[in-house]
Amino acid sequence: MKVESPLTFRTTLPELEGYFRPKSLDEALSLLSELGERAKIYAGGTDLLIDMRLRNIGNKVVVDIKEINELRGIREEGDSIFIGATTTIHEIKTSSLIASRLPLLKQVVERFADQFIRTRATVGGNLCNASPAADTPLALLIYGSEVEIASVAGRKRVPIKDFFKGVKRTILAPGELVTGVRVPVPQGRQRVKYLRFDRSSEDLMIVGIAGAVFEGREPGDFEFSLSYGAVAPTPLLFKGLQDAYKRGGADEVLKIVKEKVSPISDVRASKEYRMHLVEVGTRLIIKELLGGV
Amino acid sequence: MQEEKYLYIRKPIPRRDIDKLTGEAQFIADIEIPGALWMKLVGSPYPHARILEIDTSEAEKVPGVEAVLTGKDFPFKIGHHIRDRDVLARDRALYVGHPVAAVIAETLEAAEKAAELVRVKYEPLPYVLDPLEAMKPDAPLLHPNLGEYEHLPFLYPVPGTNIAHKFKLRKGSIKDGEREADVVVEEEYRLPMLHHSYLEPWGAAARVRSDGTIEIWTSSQGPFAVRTQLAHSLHIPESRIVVHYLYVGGGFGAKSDLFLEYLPVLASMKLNGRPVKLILNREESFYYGFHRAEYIFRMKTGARKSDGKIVFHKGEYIYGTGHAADLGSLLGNTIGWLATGPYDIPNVWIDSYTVYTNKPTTTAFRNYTHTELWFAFEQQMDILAERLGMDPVEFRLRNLIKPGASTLPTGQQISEDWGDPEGVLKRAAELIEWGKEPEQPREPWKRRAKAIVMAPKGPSMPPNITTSAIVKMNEDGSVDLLTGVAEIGQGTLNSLAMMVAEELQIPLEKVRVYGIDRDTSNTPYDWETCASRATFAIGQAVLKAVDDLKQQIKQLASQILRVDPSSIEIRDGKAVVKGEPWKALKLEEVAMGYTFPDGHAIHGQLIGRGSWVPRRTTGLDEEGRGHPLEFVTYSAQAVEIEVDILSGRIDILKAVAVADTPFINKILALGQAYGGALMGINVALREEIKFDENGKILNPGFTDYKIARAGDIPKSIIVEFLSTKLLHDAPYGAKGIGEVFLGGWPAAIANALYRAIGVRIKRAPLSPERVVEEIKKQKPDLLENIVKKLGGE
Ligand SMILES: Cc1cc2nc3c(=O)[nH]c(=O)nc-3n(C[C@H](O)[C@H](O)[C@H](O)COP(=O)(O)OP(=O)(O)OC[C@H]3O[C@@H](n4cnc5c(N)ncnc54)[C@H](O)[C@@H]3O)c2cc1C
Repeated sequence: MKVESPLTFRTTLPELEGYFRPKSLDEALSLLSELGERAKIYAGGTDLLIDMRLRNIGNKVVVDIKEINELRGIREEGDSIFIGATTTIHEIKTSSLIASRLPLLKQVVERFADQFIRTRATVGGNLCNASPAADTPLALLIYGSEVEIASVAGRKRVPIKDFFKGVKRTILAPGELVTGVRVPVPQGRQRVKYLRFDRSSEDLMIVGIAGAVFEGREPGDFEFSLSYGAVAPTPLLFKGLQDAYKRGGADEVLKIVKEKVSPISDVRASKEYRMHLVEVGTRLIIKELLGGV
Repeated sequence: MQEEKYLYIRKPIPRRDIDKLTGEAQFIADIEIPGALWMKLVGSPYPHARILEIDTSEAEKVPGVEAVLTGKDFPFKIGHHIRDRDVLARDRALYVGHPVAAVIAETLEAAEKAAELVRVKYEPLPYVLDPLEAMKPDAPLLHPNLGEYEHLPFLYPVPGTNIAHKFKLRKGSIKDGEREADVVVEEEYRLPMLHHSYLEPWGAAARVRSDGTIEIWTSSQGPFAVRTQLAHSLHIPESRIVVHYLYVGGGFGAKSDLFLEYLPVLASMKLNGRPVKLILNREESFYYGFHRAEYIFRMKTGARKSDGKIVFHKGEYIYGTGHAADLGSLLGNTIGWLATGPYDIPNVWIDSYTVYTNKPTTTAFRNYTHTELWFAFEQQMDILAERLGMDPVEFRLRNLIKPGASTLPTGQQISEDWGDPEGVLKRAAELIEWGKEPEQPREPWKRRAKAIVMAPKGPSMPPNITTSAIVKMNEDGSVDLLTGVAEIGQGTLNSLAMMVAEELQIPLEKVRVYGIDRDTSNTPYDWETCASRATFAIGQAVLKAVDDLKQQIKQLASQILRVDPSSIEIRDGKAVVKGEPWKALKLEEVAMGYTFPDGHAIHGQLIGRGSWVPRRTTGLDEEGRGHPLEFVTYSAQAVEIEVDILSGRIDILKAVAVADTPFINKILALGQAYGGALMGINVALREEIKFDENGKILNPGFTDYKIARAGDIPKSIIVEFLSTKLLHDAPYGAKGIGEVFLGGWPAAIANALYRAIGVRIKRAPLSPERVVEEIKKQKPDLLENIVKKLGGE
């Protein structure tokens, strides 16, 4: 005999204990510090509202950060580009600065969801939600970006490869807020390719693979990197694959990659199919980016 | 018939019902009923379990909760075709999600909160999810009392098994056929359960008025079907039930019969008639809603080498209906008699089984079993053609039914006015440029190929379903049209208005068609919007009603103008004496009868009425003999696909659909064609409700139940309507087109895939993952060679 909690499906959103819409970063940070674990940051809400309806999160006080001007926009700052946390995916997709300097990021956001979601969804939300199937990290990882984090205690920058801790987990502590992401602009020529496997257009990825070749000063000198989505608890980055490639081509690269990828079977795809896509996708990207080298 | 004489018919006339654009359209969620309570259901977490105890005490303490109902409150079964459903699961829960309790509260929030506090003690029982397993003698039984269930006469449950209905069809002798056959193909095909993916989740509200009238608002394709089936299920006279018409955000079959309307109705009865609302969200639509069944087709088909003729077809068609078969059993019937498609086969043996499993229940799905059967049958045809060394189009041409000569396996004559099956096939072949090899893409891992299939549709409806219409004249000479049609997005109201305007030769603006401002007590009866029949069937009732009105106008005008009624014609909004156009009366002068100069009046308001029933159809006997079809809309569909061997992804480069029927409104007809094609292609490539091994749905929402998006629309869709024959007893010769365009895509795509890479997939959907899996199984070299070309080992 078993007593089971019943199967029910919520239609409503939870009642909120509070809703704040700070106008400045300082105001937001002190709110977050005051509220601690009870606070939930609300940017575009495209992940948050779903989690709230399904009662995946318990936080009851929502801090809406969309009206903080400081968190918005795309700026060139020296050798890097700063993208504010609440910059929408649509803004990134239509930015000429991104198109010319960070073409891999452009390719990645072109495959991101649909127009409705892109006009709501933010890059900060995409990073902080920490889904293994998130798109923007794949480009941001390859460019060697840094995530900028603020709290009442001060500000810090963290390499994006250290930002993700697991499925839906980041290094962020209560009271902390991501203000944006700083992306170094490659100085030489870059060849980039994003291959994304999905079940329909405008779908979440089954597997995403981003690749880039950054050319160095000397002819024949280049850096080759790959990143993978939805094949491990966090997005995976492989930097400096050029030596393996020169040693043994795609086979050698795949040896390194396969050591780290650990896809799961879920409703979207089986582990076997994901491994298959890693294999053929990696080969396709290598052919496209390095086939002529 | 001279086509060019029409004012409106066949023309591309934009819709006039634009309430959805303006926001005036009212759907069930917009309906506010003062004092309404909300209902929330509590589902079983087990696929099969004995319910030992339900503790509702904590739930009842939640402020705002009015009642928590359980199966004990409703100690009877319901159902229209077969009485096999509990209102709320009583002794046993039969699938994951089976509602075991219903909370009713002042607000949805309170109802949700309370629902989570209902505590149920279960004893898990053995369960069965697969229809083939369910048919085995030692399978756990879902309905041990099946033999005692009340059902309609043409259903044949097999007591002591999970077989809710067994249908048999016998024609000729399989033994003779087998003796003659040189080539025999024996295969098994499978299709999964699908969600109808209507945009608007189902919902209903009900109250019992103080005079005892049960009033219902529901998102339904058939307000009258709801009334009939509810009346029958609950033993209430029809006249006590009033169902309101609402805008419906798509149905595709799911909302064509009684859904869960009985829950708010029965709850309201328990609560002194207070209005109760039940509106499902998307997850609930997956768990509590009705789906397309899963199918297994086992087929053995033989053909002769000498002339390429099919000499026998033997089939076991299995319809997995889920935990209830109230609606599924009828579909089990249809796959039975549809058995051999549009082909003339002398020896046929079909057993179709409607089988219970511990899953959600199933119902009609757009194209009512045809798409599924064609997926199997049209692959069977291509396999046979290949074994015979024949071109698949040529092979089909040799076996197609011959209008006027052939009979269906049920014995029904193929009527000549149904059209020309050969014609549609040949035209589709021309449009896809059959015989011309597709240009292969540059990438060695991509291949292209074409395929053509037949995909006719004959509407499956009871032989005696009726419909009627009333046209009444207004003082200003305009006309109101009143019918029972449910507008579920298809635009029938527009087509019907065009018919009235056409017949009376008045401006379209002068015809007002009742839309949602109706209920079942103030409109003439109509069965439901399904089976591609709304425009076809109701159109005929409308034409009869207009004809009746015209007779009255002529009669009246003849009295006034002192001529014989037969010398009066109606045109340009007038009753005119033929050959003497100066002798005429405007319609507004006779609309309310006629008033003579001295003030005395005759006749009164002009009202025409018309009723229609099918003329050609009968029921089927237990060997499957009879006349099930009013008509067939012949169609052939063709594709050119490109398959990416590495990812398994299939793209449709070109889709061709040819149907043999004229249409009423060109825009609406094309809408049905494009919509049908996109839906059918998506069914082929993506759709599947996935269950885990415990019967829990893994993708109860559109995040993981994939529907094609804008980027997935084929680059080229070519639709052509032929008009080889005009159907008698049809409005302007037009047959139904609501479903036929869904039909052939899964089969065509599977055949094209085989022609592209030699991999045959007999299981839908042809998802990228499945394609890769099958390539690895059937053609491993193909993949390995391409990987080598990419620089692999
Ligand atoms: C239909 C649909 C399709 C989708 N398709 C894709 C897709 O193709 N690719 C993809 O990657 N994602 C996709 N998503 C997921 C989602 O849109 C993205 O992850 C999006 O970028 C989230 O941004 P947001 O602004 O909406 O975040 P929100 O929902 O507002 O927040 C997400 C999480 O991050 C936290 N957060 C937000 N901003 C900050 C900040 N500045 N500092 C600290 N914490 C913060 C929130 O508290 C929350 O936990 C899809 C979602 C939907 C509903």
